[in-house]
Amino acid sequence: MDHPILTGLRVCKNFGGLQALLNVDFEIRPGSIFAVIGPNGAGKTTLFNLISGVYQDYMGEICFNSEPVSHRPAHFIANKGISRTFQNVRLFKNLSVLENVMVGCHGWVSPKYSRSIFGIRSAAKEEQVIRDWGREMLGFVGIDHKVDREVESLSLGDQKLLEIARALAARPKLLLLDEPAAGLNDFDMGKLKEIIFGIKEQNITQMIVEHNMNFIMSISDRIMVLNFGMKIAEGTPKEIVCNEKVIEAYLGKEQKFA
Amino acid sequence: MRSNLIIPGLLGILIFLFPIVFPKSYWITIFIYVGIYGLIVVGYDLLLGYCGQISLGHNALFAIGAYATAIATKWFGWPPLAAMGCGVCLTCLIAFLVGIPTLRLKGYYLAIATMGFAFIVESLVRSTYFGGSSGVTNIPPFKLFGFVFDSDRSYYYLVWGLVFLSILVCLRICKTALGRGMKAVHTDEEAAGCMGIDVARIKLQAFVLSAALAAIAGSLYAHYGATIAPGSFNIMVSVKLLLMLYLGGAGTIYGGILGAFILFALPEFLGHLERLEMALEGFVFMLILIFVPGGLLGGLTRLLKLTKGHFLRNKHDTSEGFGGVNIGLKIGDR
Repeated sequence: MDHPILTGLRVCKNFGGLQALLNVDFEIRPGSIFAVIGPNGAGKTTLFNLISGVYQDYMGEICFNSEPVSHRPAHFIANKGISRTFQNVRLFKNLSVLENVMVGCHGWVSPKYSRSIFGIRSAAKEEQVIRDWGREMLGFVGIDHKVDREVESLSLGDQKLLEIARALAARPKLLLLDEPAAGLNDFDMGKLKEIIFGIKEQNITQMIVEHNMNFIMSISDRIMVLNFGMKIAEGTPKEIVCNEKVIEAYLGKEQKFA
Repeated sequence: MRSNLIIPGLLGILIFLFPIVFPKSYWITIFIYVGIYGLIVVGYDLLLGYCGQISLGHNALFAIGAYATAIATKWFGWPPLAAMGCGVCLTCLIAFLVGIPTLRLKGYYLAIATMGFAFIVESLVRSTYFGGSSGVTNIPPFKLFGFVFDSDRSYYYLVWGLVFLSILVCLRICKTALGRGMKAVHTDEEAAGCMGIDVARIKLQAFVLSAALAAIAGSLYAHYGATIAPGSFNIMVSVKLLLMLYLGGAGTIYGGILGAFILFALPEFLGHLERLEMALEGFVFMLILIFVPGGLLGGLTRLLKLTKGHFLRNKHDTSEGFGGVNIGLKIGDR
């Protein structure tokens, strides 16, 4: 049995009295697709923000490849190999499509002033490597024909794909996708599904928050269900659809009238 | 690659030819001051135009550079180059220490915090330890390996040589991963952090780099004018920097220089309208900022892009057909 790539131990977070997450434990197997679902406000995005280091003040422990990464800043965690996308697309609007992806390479390039200023040849080479890698990532998600476009001229679907390309450019071992299918039409969703399977083939573990049930059931290996900050179930898609607690959380308790 | 050299090359030729075409020392003096402010504003663009961090404390950094050189050369008899180097190091150190806590702040808060720092430095400089309100006088001229800079023209080439160099350095920084990282921090610090960018570090680096340029400018200012007084380093300097940057175009590196030129040379063209100077200047600034929000240079590049885009689109129309056929074939092949 291989070690889990990401483990969370009694993870708690509260926002000024509002308990967003309470004692959430989880374990993610390397190479798998792990989905987090739950009604609105269940704490799914909060969990992502804790893992990726956007919030650093929380309780509990998160380990990545058996190494504790809890309470560390975002760039530290990103450079360890955890990359993410955002629920509301957060691209760098002052950069072109290709440049956005190139920013994703920042971690493994570790740019230096000395090289930038004096190493004219090595800097040019570095740029070329990043540019080629960026194009490859754009090609992977299928928008490489739009490299020089402005970000805002892309459709929402393409912007979401661009965010995935940007996250992949960091060469992550774990990819956090926050509602990748939200706002996509059926055609784009089909493309997205192919991309997610493509990422899985490259042995990159994925953790996905999603609302679209058909979508999530068809792609995930394991599903964790959160409700009001607490984990109420975990299992394979088949187990989750039959789980009474989950049904209750989504549809409410069966009422007995007469 | 080659086309990247055209604009700096043209600028270099322009800088070199200017004193030959306009030998009047009146114009050269104005241009030395344009260059000194240009030096600061180039670094300021890196900090504000690229990183998006607003500082109103650059007058203090300018002052520290100037006073360090003035005191080291006049009171301790140091050679000017060593004094300048020392002033730059001191300014960078202070910028580093001030930057660590303040750069965590955002927007207006950062502006106000850096302004507080500027007030502290200004009151120090006004104290009797540093010559009081009359400042330091009779600062020796700049010397470099035995060559004494004693004419306006020699200072002109010194200042503009450094401006040219700083432009090249900043352009290189901006065109590599560092520049992209800065722009990313500008738009969305959180997302930039999640892309592996050490946000605090990249902001601090830009702040220290801009401080170094401000210190060099301060040192040149002290040597050229031979006299420095606290009045030349008040908050208006930082306000002028802001004006220069946004008039010329933030995030363009060259823009600030253009802005500095407008700010210093415009009053000279007004001539007998002197009494209306401030009002006219203010009016021009408002017009530019309202109608050309990207600054003059920003507006110009947009115009170029538009005309170029139009031209390209016309060319594209003919090739679009082929593109369509190609796509059709590809789908068919599958």
